[in-house]
Amino acid sequence: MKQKKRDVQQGTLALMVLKTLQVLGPLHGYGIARRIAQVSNELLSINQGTLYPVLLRLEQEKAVASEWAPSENNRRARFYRITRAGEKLLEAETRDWEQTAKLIARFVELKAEDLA
Amino acid sequence: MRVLARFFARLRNFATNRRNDDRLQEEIEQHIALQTEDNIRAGMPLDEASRRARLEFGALGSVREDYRAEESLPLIESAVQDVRYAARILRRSWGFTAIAATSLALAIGANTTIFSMMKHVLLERLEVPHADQLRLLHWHGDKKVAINSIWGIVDSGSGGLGATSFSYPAFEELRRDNRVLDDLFAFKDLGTVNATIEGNA
Repeated sequence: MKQKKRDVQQGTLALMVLKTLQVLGPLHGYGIARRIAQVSNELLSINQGTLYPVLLRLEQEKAVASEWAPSENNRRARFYRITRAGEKLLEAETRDWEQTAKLIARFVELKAEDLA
Repeated sequence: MRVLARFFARLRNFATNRRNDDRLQEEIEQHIALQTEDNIRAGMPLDEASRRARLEFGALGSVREDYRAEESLPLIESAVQDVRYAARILRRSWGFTAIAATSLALAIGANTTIFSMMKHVLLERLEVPHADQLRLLHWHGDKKVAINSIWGIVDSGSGGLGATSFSYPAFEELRRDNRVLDDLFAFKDLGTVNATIEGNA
């Protein structure tokens, strides 16, 4: 059965971008989009174009840096890499997400007798 | 820090009117080209591959718009545009502008004149030496104070009464026993009076 595709929440995409860059090193926009699609197992429905405003924002926040470099099709592409500040941001955001996820999981599993 | 860095980056873009439209355009083209190549490698014919690539990228217009909104300070930018627009309209109908500006100037001028005159007459020109050292005396008593209702009496909170009006004997006593102030004077509005000055009533 095909699962319903999900919209991304605000800020989630930024975290995915940062994590992808941390694990895989410098990538261009298309590379990031493809990895995110792969990892999320196509469960995520984002227009790939929405990535670029997020990248710009992260760059303004100095969480990523970018430069032109030749890409695999012999054209130049803008390659993004995570900065020290980006690593720190990623760490903080990951912690936040884990906490939120744990909290929600606890509530979802709640049964009547737990509250008795 | 993050928010600040972002704000300054946007402020810089706004101030220098710098646009990265070319960069975004090149990134978009490259993105779609790479996706198309991947689609062809996956076995799609060229036109289908390119169509799918564009579809996956999403609406170009909205991406550009979001990008620009992140880039600069759209709020201030649109305010500046509004001001420019207003200036253009005003320049076009200069007759209206002239009348509006003149009446505004006259009104503001008249107001200023009247106010500064009144300020001088009513507030500043107290005919006493060292007007800046003037103090207004005020008495106040608790609930049990026995006094007739007089002009200017106020409830000074907590049930007590107070006023800046004194009976004349009280004033005289204050004046006689004064050790603190240079001098004491009292004033009262007289209502309607007839005055005769040099034979003219």
